[in-house]
Amino acid sequence: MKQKAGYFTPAALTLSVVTAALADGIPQGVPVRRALWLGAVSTVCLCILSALAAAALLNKAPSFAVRLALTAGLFMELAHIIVQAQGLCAAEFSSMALLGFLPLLLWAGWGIRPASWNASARVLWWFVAVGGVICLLGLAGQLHWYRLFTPAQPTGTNWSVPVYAEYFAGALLCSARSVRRTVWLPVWGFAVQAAALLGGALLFGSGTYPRLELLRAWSSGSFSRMDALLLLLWLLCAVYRAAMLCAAIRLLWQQPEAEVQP
Amino acid sequence: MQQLSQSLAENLSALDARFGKSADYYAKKIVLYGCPGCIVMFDGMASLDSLWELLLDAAGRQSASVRLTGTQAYAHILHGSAFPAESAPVQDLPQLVARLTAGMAVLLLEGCSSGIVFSVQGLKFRSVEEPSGEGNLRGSREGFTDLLRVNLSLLRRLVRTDTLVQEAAQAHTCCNTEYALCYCKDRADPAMVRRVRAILQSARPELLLDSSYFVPWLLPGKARLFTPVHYTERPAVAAAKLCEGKLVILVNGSPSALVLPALFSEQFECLDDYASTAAFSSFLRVLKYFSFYLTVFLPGVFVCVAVYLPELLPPQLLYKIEAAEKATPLPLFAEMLLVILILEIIREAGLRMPQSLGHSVSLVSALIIGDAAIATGLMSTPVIFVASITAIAVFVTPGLYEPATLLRIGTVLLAGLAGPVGLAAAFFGFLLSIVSTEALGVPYLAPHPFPQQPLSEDGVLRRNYQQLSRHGFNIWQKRERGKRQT
Amino acid sequence: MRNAKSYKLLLFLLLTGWCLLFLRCESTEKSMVRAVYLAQSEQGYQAGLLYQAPQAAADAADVTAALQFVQAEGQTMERALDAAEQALPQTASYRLCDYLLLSKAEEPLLTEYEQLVLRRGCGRTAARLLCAEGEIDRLAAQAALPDALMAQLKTAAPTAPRLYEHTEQGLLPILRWNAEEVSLQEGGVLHTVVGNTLLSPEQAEVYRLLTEQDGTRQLWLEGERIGIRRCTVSVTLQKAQVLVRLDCQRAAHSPLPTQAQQQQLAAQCTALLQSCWQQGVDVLHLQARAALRDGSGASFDPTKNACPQLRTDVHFMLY
Repeated sequence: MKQKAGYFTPAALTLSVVTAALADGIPQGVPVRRALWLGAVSTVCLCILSALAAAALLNKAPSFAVRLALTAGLFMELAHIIVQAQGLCAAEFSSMALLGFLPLLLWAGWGIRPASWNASARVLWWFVAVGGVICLLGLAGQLHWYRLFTPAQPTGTNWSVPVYAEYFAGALLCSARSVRRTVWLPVWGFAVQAAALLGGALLFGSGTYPRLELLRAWSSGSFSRMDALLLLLWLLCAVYRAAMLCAAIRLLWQQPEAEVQP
Repeated sequence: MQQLSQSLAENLSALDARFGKSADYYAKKIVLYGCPGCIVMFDGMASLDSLWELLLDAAGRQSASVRLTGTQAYAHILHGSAFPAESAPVQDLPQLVARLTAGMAVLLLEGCSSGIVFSVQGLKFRSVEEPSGEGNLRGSREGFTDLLRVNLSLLRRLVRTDTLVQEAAQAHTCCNTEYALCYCKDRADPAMVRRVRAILQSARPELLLDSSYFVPWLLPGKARLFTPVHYTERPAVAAAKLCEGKLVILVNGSPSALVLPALFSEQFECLDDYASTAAFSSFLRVLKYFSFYLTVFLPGVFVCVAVYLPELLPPQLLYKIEAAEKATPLPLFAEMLLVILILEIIREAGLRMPQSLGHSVSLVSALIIGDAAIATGLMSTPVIFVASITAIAVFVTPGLYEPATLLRIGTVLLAGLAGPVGLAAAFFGFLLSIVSTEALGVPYLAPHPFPQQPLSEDGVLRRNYQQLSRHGFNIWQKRERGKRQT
Repeated sequence: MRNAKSYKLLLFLLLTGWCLLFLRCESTEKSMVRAVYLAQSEQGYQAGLLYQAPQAAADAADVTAALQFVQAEGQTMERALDAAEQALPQTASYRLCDYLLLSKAEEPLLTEYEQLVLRRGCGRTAARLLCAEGEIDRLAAQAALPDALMAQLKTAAPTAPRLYEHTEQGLLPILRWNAEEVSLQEGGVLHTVVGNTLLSPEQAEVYRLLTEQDGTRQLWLEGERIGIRRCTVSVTLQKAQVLVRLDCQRAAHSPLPTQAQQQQLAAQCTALLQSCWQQGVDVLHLQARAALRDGSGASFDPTKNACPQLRTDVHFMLY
């Protein structure tokens, strides 16, 4: 049954994590250096936990409890990303169409096999790369190093690290050969958030602005702004993530269950 | 190198082992001047007329002094003469009909219940001409005709090895149409050949007027936008596909050959791709990919960007679009849809109408779209411009015309009604339909270089043909690679 | 079998109906606001919107951009902007609003507008800031002035600071208009949180040079006009002094400056740096450089410390 199910590739899971990290960002109000240090330490801890989970679940049939816990985590991620995507559509595009397409999206995610999502992820990664380059090109001229050393620095101490269900489900969602690469998923999440934090600090200095303002500051040549296009790219990835999470939940329950010891 | 033997039987046995399965292989034992012999040839390639004249003269001089019964004459002609008769006589009427409808002559004798068949076909058929749909600058100009035997001979002329197999059979239709399955036995996957053969034999189309009628049996299941088969009317293209291990299906009465499995990237290649320099053909391929994506997404993107992402348009263009939408009664996406549908009507009319009326209709349609519609305020210039570009761009890749047209209309509808979410949905629909398409285990997108190998040797860009020739390409390698990926 | 088919059909209809509930068709017919004008008076606020309003025309050749201007007043900034939006022919769209014109670049005005932008989206935080001098009624009355204003805005924009930089120092270009024309004034307004200072044309050009802004700078040195582009500023902090080095590339068709001209430019740079320091403006971010090197920039605080000794060297590349 494992052979027939098909698995996700690490690239697909990474894209899912990167999409979520782009939306969540790092809490503002914390000094940059502290945020980066705390983030790095948290990432190392998460990588260790991810590796332990992978080792525990590798080549073993998951128990009902494990399956249920992971499903709950994936379902919460699914709900979260849908809420974020719908919020973006309503705020930026004045559109409720995502709600209209939601049943179709969930049905497609449930019905389409992981191989198709893996191939789609490869295409979307190119979009993410191009989007990243465009973002850099438009913001590069506005990023100034001296803003990191402004006298007034934020003094917040609240810190929370986003944890995604994909960190611990790698052994069950990916094939045995590629599980090792899923241990590094927290690094990708942190890298994205650190880039966003640094970008915000280099652009706005000590000022606290909503995360989207970083994109709205984009300008290059005759194009005065491109935040809507970059948000559309994120929306593509968000739709992908939502559908992929449905497929992941299905894949979890397609796996043979562990035998209950008497 | 195997030398010919002095024994006729040994030579015939060796030839039979090589060509025995092929339908166009002809071998007739004769006796000339008392010496047993055998005529071997490929049907359709050698002329039987001169052979007939030579043997008829000999037969006429012999028959005047001989009186034989029907059975004796049958035996004499079939076994004792050098007439070019079919070695398998007909024993019943269905066989008789099948031979007669194939253009052969059958000799029936008084007192004999078997008929002798003579292959003296003189069918009238369309000559070998350049196909109208597949233009090229260099390379062969020949195209398939409507006659199956002629088409098989055209392929045999190009693939001059003993590995080409051309299996002919009759389909189970009300017309008993003949078809042929062609493949190179050293390159094609034997299991896939067996599978396709079995499918073709079990298919029950009502009519078989073209090779595409087999597609629902070859690729059963859900509705799909992209069909992983390729059609060609050029023997050179078919021969090239055969050398890649693919299967070619030809149907009597149609010049269109079906090639499977096909890849998405092959839609952007053409016959003279390898005849020009690597740099220029790479440039053309990039242009074709760009044209395809332009024709699919430009109208929808235009509608979406103009309404929801106006900052992406230069202000000089934006206010013209805004002014145009103010002047026309329909919203932007409805106008775009209307123009696309009108262009499709014009295209379809241009395809079906008598050629003598072609110029008049072109003129009228140009006036309607280009002038009158704008003057009356029904359509606007920016929309007509965008729709016209996409209508022309689609013909850069004619093999993808059908999915491109449907996708274009769907994208406009979704982008117009649902904005950026609709555009994202259209993109995903396109992406998922293309990644989930496969034929005989070969994914449609393999070896599509873009997501996996942007610098593939023969993908969007191609290398020098000398370098490409070092590694032979076989389509079944992609099937194995595709299987490993899941 | 029949039941399954009818259920499928029902499901399909439900799905289609659900989709159609949330779909709608938007149009491009909006008033695209290109720039916002703000002024504060004793009575309240004055707001103006420069927007695009093309006439309806199916043939693109007959269309003109037709920029127009509306103005309104209100007790609060939000009311003033709202009243201006009411005067627009169609719903306002701020997606192309890249400029903010101010009669006086005062910090409270900027902060209030920024809060409004973050809350209501009536602009963008990356909008360019420019000073405006002229009677606002003329913009609404004269048909040609809005187009001319837009053209000058595009010319001045590359050197204008952005709204989110309003807590830092920035040099705002000045646009002035009368009944016939709109012109970009030489010089500029140096804005800080504390207040504004009017800079002369030479000072403004030197300031732009020292802040490595894009574009070609035109300076009169020793009675000769010198064009400078691509200036790189290097700062070295030493114990006793601060070394400032300018590596410049002259513009096309501009003569290579002589030693005297280079020294004059160096002197102008030093004078501007010192005068800005006295007003509490750290043009070269010496405080940040010290913090980067030593961990603390307290010794280079312009509000507390005297101006360090500056030595400026100017070098021109031969090509």
